[in-house]
Amino acid sequence: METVEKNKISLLLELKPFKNNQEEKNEIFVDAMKEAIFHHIKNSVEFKKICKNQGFDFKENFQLEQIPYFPVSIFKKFNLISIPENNIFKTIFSSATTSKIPSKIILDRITSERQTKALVSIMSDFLHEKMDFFILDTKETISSIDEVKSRSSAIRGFLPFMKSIKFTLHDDLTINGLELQNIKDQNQYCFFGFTWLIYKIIKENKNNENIKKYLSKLKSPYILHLGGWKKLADLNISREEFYQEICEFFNTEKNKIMDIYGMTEQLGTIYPDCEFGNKHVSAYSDIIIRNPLTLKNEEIGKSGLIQLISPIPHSYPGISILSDDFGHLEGIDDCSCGRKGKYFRFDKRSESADLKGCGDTID
Amino acid sequence: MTKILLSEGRILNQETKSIQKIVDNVNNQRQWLHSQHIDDLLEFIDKLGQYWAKVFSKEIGINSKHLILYLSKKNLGKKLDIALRGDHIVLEKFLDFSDPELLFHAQPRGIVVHWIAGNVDILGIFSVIQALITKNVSIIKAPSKFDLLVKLIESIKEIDTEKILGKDLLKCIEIVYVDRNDLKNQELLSNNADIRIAWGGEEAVNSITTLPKSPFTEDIIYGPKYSYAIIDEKSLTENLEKIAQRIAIDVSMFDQYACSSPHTVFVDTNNEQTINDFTEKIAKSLDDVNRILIPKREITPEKSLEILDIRTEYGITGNVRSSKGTEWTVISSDEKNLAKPTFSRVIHIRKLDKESLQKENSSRKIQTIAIVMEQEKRFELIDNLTLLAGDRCPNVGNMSLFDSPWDGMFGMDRMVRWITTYKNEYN
Repeated sequence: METVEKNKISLLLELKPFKNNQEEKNEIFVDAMKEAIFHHIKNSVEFKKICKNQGFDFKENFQLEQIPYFPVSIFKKFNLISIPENNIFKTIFSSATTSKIPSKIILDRITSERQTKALVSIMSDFLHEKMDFFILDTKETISSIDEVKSRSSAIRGFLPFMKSIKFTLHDDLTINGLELQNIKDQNQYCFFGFTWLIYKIIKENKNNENIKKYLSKLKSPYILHLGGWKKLADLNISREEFYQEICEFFNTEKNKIMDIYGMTEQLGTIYPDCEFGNKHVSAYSDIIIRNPLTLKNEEIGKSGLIQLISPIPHSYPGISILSDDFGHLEGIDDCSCGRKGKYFRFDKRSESADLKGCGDTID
Repeated sequence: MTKILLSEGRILNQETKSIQKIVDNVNNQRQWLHSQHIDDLLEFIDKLGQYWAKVFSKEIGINSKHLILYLSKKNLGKKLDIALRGDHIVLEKFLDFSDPELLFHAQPRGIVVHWIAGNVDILGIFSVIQALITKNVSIIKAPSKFDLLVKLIESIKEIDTEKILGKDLLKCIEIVYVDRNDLKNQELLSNNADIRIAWGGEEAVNSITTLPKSPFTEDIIYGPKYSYAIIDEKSLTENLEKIAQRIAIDVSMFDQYACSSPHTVFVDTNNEQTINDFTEKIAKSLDDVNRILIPKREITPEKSLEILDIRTEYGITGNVRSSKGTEWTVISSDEKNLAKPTFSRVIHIRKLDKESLQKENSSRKIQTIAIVMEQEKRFELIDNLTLLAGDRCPNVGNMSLFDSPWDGMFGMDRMVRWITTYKNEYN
């Protein structure tokens, strides 16, 4: 069975990420999902139980929206694994900015290779050449090997696009000007970092004359940012304000800034912005927007919880995850950028506290 | 943003910097309210209850029937009798309660300030009624969603009885919305309260009790509390469907945000099938109640995620039955303790472990324990359990029907001062 499974998912990974329209993609994608579901039902008690509880039978014909999902918070509570322990290659921990408890994602080589393949294919459609990368993070971030933080994992995923790499932050997350001294005006640079960290650096250094002098040599570098907006939203910073600040600080244009959506719980299948500001769903994954109350599919334009589906996870049953992010579908197969498949926009992270009555006990 | 919502009998909805004026207004009504005979007040409330149940039946829902019954002159008069040592006429004059020397007269304490919780506004109304029939004037600090509360109180003016005009009685109640950050006005309310009544969760109650107050102010705290039910196998064998329906009503009323809403139902059985059958019946009943009797209020997406989270967690470690959407959830598992409340119609069914429950049932956080078993066993269990905790043991289906006493207190007794004099003037 393992061989068959490899073949189907491998077949999916051979596809160009945005070439097939949704209907063509579905045919291959559902087959790949069937294999993934079979593997996880066989190897994950948790996934099997969830499928049984929801009366889901993968042997029957099914629609993608019928596949049971794990709410993303479950990765903070359970050690979800679908492989023998001796096949563990590395463990990824999420940044845990909101709940303080990190998600724990266990990877084997199969998953890791699939993730890398998907990420490279997706990003190759957006970045057409290798560039000199400035990582807006510390070198320490990627130093650990077995247990990896999601920040490190994200950086490693982009290595194939790096002609050179420089880490621009000290251990205390302040800017290291020395690394920026030798910027050459003829090079194509790319700055890469987490959204909140980029904002922090700009805020701390926008009046730093030395840093401004170094960065003034830049000619329209790419700025790739990823990770939550929650910290910025808390500070009442809009995307427009943030992008304006990025343009001024890094001497670049808005169309060179790329927000990359993705989750630690489904690494590899990332969703970068196209030049029209839409996030594109590749052949290797799919998304469903669910109404938070009825849990039914939302139509194009209506905001709801983003469910992410991908057959890539092999070592853990994270093939269908309900995130706590809100987004809405912008369309299918018809984005002006020419990419096929679904495209969507991120709306917000869930955040508000629930109203409590007199039943809100001390526990 | 602090607002006066209702003042001197009129809806205002007016922003204000200081609410001192409403304190003065209500203070001016103390004499008038004191001069009304208690039987006339009870008659007025009787008529008001009927009016509310008729005009606001949609908003009040299943509580309407209880409202008429509870606010009837006969019922409320009796509750007042019990709370005030046997005779509510003690509010009018000195009475002889068979003390060898003393006569007693109950006088109102003065201004009652009610901090009413958002999701249980109907429960809060009962404390306002209790204040009125003990002849106390009221200031209501409304929750952020105050529409129904204001409508109900304003409608007092629509009622007239032979002795009391609604427009006059309405002047004894002022309603304000005070922003939680407006410490100045929160303190003003607290400092002027002769009685502070706080309905709400832990955070809300703590924020109220830490406000400055006079050393003579009486605090009546309703919440935060936890409630549950116990049912034995024999009762389920005989009345499975009826019990499931009643539990479904208890769970659905106030969407479990009331302190009296059950979060766990313990079944006294060793038979797994009994638990399964019961779980199934409750699921069906919750679905029926949601469709027919008490539609679920809208919830936040965050609560929705919490529900999905708990469903998945127990889908892995136990068994879950749920609506297709987020309306209701029934969870059975091997856990023995009181389940952590999720609210929003999430009920846990667990096998009863008396020893474990006895240990947990030791904190004053426990309020309502509905017990279904044959009478003698029930009384024995109630006596055992309530030694340390638990204040009310009603029937299933009635868990969230307001009653007196509530939270172990005769609220109306706490709203009066006891005045004494001697039977013989030369003693």
